[in-house]
Amino acid sequence: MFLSDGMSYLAECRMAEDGESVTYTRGATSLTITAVRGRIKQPANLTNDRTTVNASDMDFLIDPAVLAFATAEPLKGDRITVGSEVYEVMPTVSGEQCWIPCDDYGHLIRVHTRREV
Amino acid sequence: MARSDDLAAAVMTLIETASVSSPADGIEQGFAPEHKRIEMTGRYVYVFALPPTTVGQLTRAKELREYKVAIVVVERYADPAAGGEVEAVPEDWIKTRKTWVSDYIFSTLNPKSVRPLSMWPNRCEIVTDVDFANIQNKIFWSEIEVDYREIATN
Repeated sequence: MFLSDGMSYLAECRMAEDGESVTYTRGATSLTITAVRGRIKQPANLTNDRTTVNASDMDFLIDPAVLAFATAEPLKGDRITVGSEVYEVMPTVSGEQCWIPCDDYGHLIRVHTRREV
Repeated sequence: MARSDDLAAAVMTLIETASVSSPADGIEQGFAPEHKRIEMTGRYVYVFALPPTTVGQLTRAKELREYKVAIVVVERYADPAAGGEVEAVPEDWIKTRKTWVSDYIFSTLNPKSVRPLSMWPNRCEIVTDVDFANIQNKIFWSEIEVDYREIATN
């Protein structure tokens, strides 16, 4: 478990250094948690080569242990609010669900979102 | 203006006139329209003129010519999901948009008696009813194609 302990320590350091307070919402329940902004993308979703719709995608790194819901993993449709910006959890990366583990032990997870507001 | 663009303009007018009781928020001839997703509000209709083709030679001086027009209807579902939902976009919302496309575009352009620029519709088809990938992306996308024909002089 030496590697797992090391990864856990690194995850804690990352949260402490780069983390910011965000609101994680599912239905009527909101939690204030710490998250790190990850990859930002501005994909252009071409639709049948006729129109272009430009989206704003963002990944958030979070500790899955803080998601105190009955289902303790991110679900499609959950929302993450940072200031006036609202991001919705959705599978934005082809071939992936709406979240993936950041490391082999799952100390941090990467949640895929798309800006809605 | 090219005849295909004139036809697209005429088709656009037909749709505008037919949907006056329930108009789209924007309707225009499309060449390369682009949207910012989070700023999309309302229903947009784009009418595209596609290149004409010769279907066959009728006489030495006349040919049967076909003009294609594509109509794209696009609208973003802007209400945030409640969270943990399987269906982020309500079925009723999608159904309302499908009905609008059927009532105001397909039913307007499909009758053979509706002849913009004296051309008749040889084929009118809802090519994409609801685009699955886009509805996952919370965007309604529907596409209609109409083939108009006329007898043209060489």
